[in-house]
Amino acid sequence: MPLYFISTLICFWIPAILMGLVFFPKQDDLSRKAFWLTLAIFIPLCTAMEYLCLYLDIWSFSEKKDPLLGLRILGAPIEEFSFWFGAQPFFLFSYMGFDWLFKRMDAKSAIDNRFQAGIRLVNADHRCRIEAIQSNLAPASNSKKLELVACGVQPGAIDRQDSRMSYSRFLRMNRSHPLLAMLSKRGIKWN
Amino acid sequence: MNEFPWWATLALPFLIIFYFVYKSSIEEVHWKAAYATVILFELVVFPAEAFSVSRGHWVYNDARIWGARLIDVPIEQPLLYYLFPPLLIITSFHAIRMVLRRIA
Repeated sequence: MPLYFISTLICFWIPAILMGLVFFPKQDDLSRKAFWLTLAIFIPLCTAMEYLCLYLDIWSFSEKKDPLLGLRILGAPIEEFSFWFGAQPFFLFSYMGFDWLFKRMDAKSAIDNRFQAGIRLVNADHRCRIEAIQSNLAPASNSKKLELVACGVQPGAIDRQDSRMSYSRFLRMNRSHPLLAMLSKRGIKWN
Repeated sequence: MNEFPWWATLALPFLIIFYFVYKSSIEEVHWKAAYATVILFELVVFPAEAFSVSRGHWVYNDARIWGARLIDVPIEQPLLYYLFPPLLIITSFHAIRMVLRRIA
């Protein structure tokens, strides 16, 4: 089996094509042009490097265990070009992928920060409201509960909220929680 | 040709080019993503290269490398060639992008 050629396909070409299908369309026009120009510069450079390495006898190829495909360009096996040319889109698409992922994580973290700040604000509001109600009403009075409900607060609901909770986790736990409506009511935007 | 570590020496022109490209694009590159790319490349290519060397896909000439090997892979590979080519290509991509933006 031509394992050298297959290994270049598995290591570079297949991941590069898959990543390219996902991340290349997300790039702006400038990045797309820059991508093709980068390849246009480095492909000849890598070709020259390959022939220089062969000329300087840095490495050679053995077919004792695995055969090569047999196609050669000016003495260099085609597998070498599959390696050199596959690595470059692999670098750029991996970079685009990580860039997208880290930016997304940063944005999510910013959303979480704003959301947590909102929770803290509503919690503070809620505590003030409870204190105000407790100062006017008897602690055991059922009116406290009624008044909280009238204000749009479910008693105990806010206190249970962990202010370090991420927005996505909060949504997973309870999509219809009144806290979301309360944050909106207060004009707190987090995304 | 006499014994000479040509494989490491060939990295020098790339390092010089990298220095200038790096200086010009340092503000544009998302370095966290660039280093993640290098780590991914090291993780993918080192086992692949160790496999290729063991199967004889590449037979390194001992007279052209430093001599130290890591699982039969010349030490130049993880030290130089897995690190600088991805960074050079990424920084060049940004440098080209900057030039295109100036032209546009």
